[in-house]
Amino acid sequence: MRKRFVSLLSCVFLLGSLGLAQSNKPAPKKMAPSDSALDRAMLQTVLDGWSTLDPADAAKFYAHGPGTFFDVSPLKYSSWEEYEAGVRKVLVDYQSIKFTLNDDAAVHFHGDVAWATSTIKEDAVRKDGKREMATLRWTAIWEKRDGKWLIVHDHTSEPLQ
Amino acid sequence: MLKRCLLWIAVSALSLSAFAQSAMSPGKKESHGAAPDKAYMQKIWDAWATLDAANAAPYYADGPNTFFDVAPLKYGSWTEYAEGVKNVLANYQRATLTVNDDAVVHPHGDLVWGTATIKEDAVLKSGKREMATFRWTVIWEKRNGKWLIVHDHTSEALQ
Repeated sequence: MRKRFVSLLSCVFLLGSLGLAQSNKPAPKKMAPSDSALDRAMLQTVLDGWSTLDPADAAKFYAHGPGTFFDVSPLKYSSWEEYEAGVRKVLVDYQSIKFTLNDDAAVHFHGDVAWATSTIKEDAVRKDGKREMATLRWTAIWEKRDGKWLIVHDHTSEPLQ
Repeated sequence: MLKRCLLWIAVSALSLSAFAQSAMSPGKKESHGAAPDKAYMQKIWDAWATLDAANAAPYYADGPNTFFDVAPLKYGSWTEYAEGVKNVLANYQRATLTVNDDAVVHPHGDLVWGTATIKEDAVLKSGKREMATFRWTVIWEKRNGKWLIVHDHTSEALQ
C-alpha cells in the first residue's frame, strides 16, 4: 500500500511539474513550422510581384476588399482594388523597376498575425529614360486566412530629404 | 479503494490545473487595461506636440526596435529615435498634431496594430508655418500590463 501511495504521489509531482514547465514557456512569437512560408524570401517575392510593373502579379499577396494601404503617394488607398488601380496608373510611366529587400528585413509572428519591416532598394528606369534610385521603408501587416498569409495593410514611404 | 479514488482525483485536479495554466500562455492571457484606441493614439501625438521626446517616451518600448519617421531613413531603437527627433523638434516653436477620423485599431490579444492619417499644424522658430498630413502605422505589444509601441512608421506622401 505504501509503495502504491509513493508511486501515485510521484505521478502527481511529475504531472504537476510538467504542467508548470509548459506554463513558463515564452509568448508564441517564435517562428512555428506553419509560419515558415512567411520569411525574408516571401517578402522578396512580394517585391518581385511589384517589379513586373503589373499589380496583378502582386494581387495574390494582398487581402482584397476594404483595407488601408499607404504607398509612397498619394495619401492613402482604402482597399486593395483602389490600391491596384492607383499603382497601375503610376507604373505605366516606368520601363523597368527592381525592388531589393535589404538585410535589415525582420518578421515578427503573433499567432495568425505577423508584421514585417524592411528598407528596400529601388532601382528604376522611367519611360523617358531617367533612372530613379531610392531607399524606401516598408511595413507590412499580415494575417493568416484559410492557411495563407495575406497582407492586410502595408506602408511604403521614402524619407524626406 | 476510497483512498485510491481520492488519489486519482488529486492527480486529475493537478493535471487539469497545470493544463489550464499552460493554455493561458503569456501571449494569450487576458489583457488588463484598455487596448489602444483613437483617444490613446491622440494622447501619443499630444505628447509629441509638446516638442519634448521625453513626454512620448512612456509610450515606446525600449531596446532594439525599428522606427521609421518622416526622416531620416530609420532608427534602430527608442534611444536613437528620441535623440534624432530631439534635433528636429529643436527647430519648432509649437506644433499641433491631430489624429484624423480615419484612425483604426485592430486588436489581436496582446498585439494591436493601428493606422491613421495625422494633421500637422506647426510653426518653426523661423516663424514659418508648416502644415501637412502624415500617414501613421503603429504596432503595440502589451508588456507587463502596459501597451508599448514596438514599431511605428510615420511618413509624408510624396507630392
